Amino acid sequence: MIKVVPYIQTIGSEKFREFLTQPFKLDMLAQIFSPIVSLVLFEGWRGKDMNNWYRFTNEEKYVLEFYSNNYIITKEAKSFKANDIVKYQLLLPQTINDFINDMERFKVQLYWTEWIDQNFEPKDYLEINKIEEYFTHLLIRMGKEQDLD
Amino acid sequence: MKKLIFIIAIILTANAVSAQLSGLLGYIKERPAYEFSHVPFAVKQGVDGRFVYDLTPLKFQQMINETTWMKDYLSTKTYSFFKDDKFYMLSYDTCSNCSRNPSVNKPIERGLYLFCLDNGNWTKACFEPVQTDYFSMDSSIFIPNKGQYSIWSAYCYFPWRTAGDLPKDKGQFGYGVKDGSVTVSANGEITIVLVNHKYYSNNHSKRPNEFSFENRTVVLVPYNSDNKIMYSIAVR
Repeated sequence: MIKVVPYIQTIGSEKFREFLTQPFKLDMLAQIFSPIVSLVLFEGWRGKDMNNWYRFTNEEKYVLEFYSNNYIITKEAKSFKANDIVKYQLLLPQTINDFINDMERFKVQLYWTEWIDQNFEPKDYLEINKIEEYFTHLLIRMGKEQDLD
Repeated sequence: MKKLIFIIAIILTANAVSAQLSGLLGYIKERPAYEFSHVPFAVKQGVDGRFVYDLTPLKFQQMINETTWMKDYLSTKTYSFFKDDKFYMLSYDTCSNCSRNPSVNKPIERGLYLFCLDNGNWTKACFEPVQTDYFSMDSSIFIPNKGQYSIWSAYCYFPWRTAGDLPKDKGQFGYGVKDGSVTVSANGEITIVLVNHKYYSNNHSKRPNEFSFENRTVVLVPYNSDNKIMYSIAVR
């Protein structure tokens, strides 16, 4: 699972910036439209067309409800006490970057699908301090520790 | 047969990755400081557990490795956006006394500025603050058998792209929050709708803290300064 981090925590590549300024589409979370509008970019979400609005859930019990002008983030509580439910309402994200920042702000961890790996280098999308760690582990896995020196 | 093809594919991929790795590792090693060498403003935890606002720009890499507070600061106290090929951030500047410590009887002020990532460094894109936050002791009250109590108020930028109204029972920050936004017009002006958090507190537990939200619109007008795009602030 590849963690999504905000642009500001990456090295800030131009190519990645251009990608993040693309319009956000609901299909990036899960395939709910036919024909397909966008490839799924974020892993772990299930989506449903609720007739005029759309509901997405993940295994961490987060619920995203998208309406015509806004969307609501809800964390389902283990108990049924109203105070345990955290709920936020936001404007619809215009860009992929908006959506990532919203999720970061409300502590909803996102994960990239394999698409990101096929279209970008790890140095583009990984957190800065994870880049060297990533390649170090990769070299060790490949038995090329000598290249680390 | 399928297994054989799979194994061959893995070997070919591994060789290709291996060939690229030396270059990438070189790329990493050649850069002692990463591109984000400075963040305009930092927050760190004070000795007494309260948050203190640090005056010194620190290496982004150092901060992000230290604790999670830098990430928390970025996600909860700043707002970043793209304009043309530039990356901008609303963030606090340095200030001399920003400890939010009620035992210190001093008001605080902090400037919210627009910063631009320019050649790897965050630099101010405006010379005057987009807004000045405050946190101050407005008054004090005497409560029989309990003593003197302070009433503090704060007016702070609330950096969310927030939010419409929700009923009060629908959760934290669910009510009274207005829509914040950043809009870039064709002539280059940036219109920012700031969401401000007004907060009142006192030391007497029987009186609950109160807060509300208020919008403020700021228009940033571009101008050229030494071949660099800067912004002046027109407040609506």
